[in-house]
Amino acid sequence: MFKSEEVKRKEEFEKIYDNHVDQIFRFVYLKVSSKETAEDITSKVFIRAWGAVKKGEVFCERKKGFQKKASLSVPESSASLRNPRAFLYQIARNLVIDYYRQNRKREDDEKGSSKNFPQTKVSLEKVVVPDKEMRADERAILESQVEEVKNALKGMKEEYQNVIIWYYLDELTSAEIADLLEKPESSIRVLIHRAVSALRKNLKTKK
Amino acid sequence: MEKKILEKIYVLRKIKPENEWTSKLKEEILESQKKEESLSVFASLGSSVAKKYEVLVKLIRGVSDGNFSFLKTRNVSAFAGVFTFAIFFFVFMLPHFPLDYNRDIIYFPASSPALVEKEGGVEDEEDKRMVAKEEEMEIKKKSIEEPIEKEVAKLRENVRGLKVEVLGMMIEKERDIKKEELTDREITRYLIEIAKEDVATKNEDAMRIMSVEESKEDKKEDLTKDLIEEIKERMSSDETKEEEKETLYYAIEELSLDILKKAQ
Repeated sequence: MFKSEEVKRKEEFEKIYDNHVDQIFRFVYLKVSSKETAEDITSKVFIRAWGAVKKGEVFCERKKGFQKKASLSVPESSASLRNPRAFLYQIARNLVIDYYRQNRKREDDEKGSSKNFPQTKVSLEKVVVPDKEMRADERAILESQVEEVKNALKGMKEEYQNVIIWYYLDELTSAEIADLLEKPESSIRVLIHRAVSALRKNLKTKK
Repeated sequence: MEKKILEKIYVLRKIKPENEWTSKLKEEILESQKKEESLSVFASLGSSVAKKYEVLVKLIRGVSDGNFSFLKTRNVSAFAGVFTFAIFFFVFMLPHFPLDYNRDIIYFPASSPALVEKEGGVEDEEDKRMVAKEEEMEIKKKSIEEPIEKEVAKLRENVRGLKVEVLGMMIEKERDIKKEELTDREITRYLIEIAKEDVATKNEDAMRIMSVEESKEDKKEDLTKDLIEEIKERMSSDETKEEEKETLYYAIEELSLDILKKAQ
C-alpha cells in the first residue's frame, strides 16, 4: 500500500517526537527555571521542527541566525531527518537564547531567589520522576540533589552546560557533539574535561 | 572522573516532562496542520468567516458523533451568528435574486436598482431588435459579398490558368519540355520574368515614343529658326516694303517667343 508523502512525514515526525521530547525538555528545563517555560519552549521547538519536516526543507540553525540550507538538491525524506537530534537541539538552543534576551531581568531575579526552595520544589515535583517505590524522604533527597546540580550547572558557561547535558545525560558521543557544535572532536573532548572541572568546582563552592 | 560527580549528574536523568503533556502537545502540533488546511480555502475571506466555518465543521462533526458538548464552548456565539445569518439569507435574501438562468451572472438587487425596473421591460426588447437588425445586415452583406468574392476568385484562377497555359506553351517551345513537368515555383519564376519583360518593353516603348516626340520638337525648333533666318533676310532686302517689314518683324518676335517657351 502506498502512503502519501504527507502521511510518511507525519509518521517520521511522530517517531522523532517520541524519541526526543524528553531529552529536549530536560535540556531546556536545565537552562530555564520554570517548568512552564520549559514546556513552552519545548513546544515551540517541535512546532518549528514539524513546520520544517512538512516543507521538506533542511534547516541548519547557526548561533548567529537561521539559515535555510537546501531544499531542492537534497532528497526530502533523508535530508530533513538526517540528524534530527542535532536539528532539534539547534532550535532549542536558539529559543533559549531568545528567552534569555527577553527575560534577562527575570533570570537575574530568579538567580537571586534560587535559594527559595519552596518555589523550585513545586516545579521539581512535576518534572522529576522518581522511582515507583521511592519513599517520601528519598524523594526529597533526590529533589535536593537535582536542585543542587541544576544550580551548579546554571552557574557555568553555556557551552559547558551543553556538553555536560549531551555527553552525560543524553549520551551523545563526542563525534555527535562535534557535529552539533561544528567543532573538531578533539576540541570536544577538551571541552568535556573543562566542563566537568567547572561543575566540580561549582558543586564544591556551593557546599 | 569522580564517581560522586557522575552520580550527581546522572540524577538529572530523572527530569522528564509529564506524559499527559507530551501526548497533548503531539496531538496539538499534528492537529494544527489539519486546521491550516481547512482554513486555507477561507483565508482570503478573513479570520472571522474562517472561524465561523470552523465552528460549522465542529457542529457537523459534533452532530455526526452525537456529541453536543461544543454548545458549552465559547464558540456558541459564533455558531449562533452563522446559523442566524444562514436563516436570514435563505428566508429573506434568496427570493429577491433574479435567478435568470439565461444570464451569465446573477445581479444583486441592491447594487443595480435600474435593472429591477427594467426586468421584462422595454430595453430588453430594444436590445433584441438591435441585435436582430445587426444580424440581418450581416447576413445581407454576406449574401452580396460572397458571390462577388467567389467570382473574383474564379476569375483570378482563370487568369492564372491562362497565364500558365501561355507560359507553358512558351516554355515547351523554348525548352522542349512539357509544362506538367514544371513545379509551381518554376512557373512563378517564369511569370515574374515575363512580367519584368513586359515592364521593360513598356518602358522601352515609352522611351521610344518620348524620343520620337522629342526629335519632332527638335525638328520643329530647327525649322522655326530657319524660318526666322529667312524672314530676317527678307527684311533686310530692299525689295521688301515697309509695311511688310513690320509684319515680318512681329512674326520673328512670335517665333522667338515660341522657341523661348520650349526652352523653358
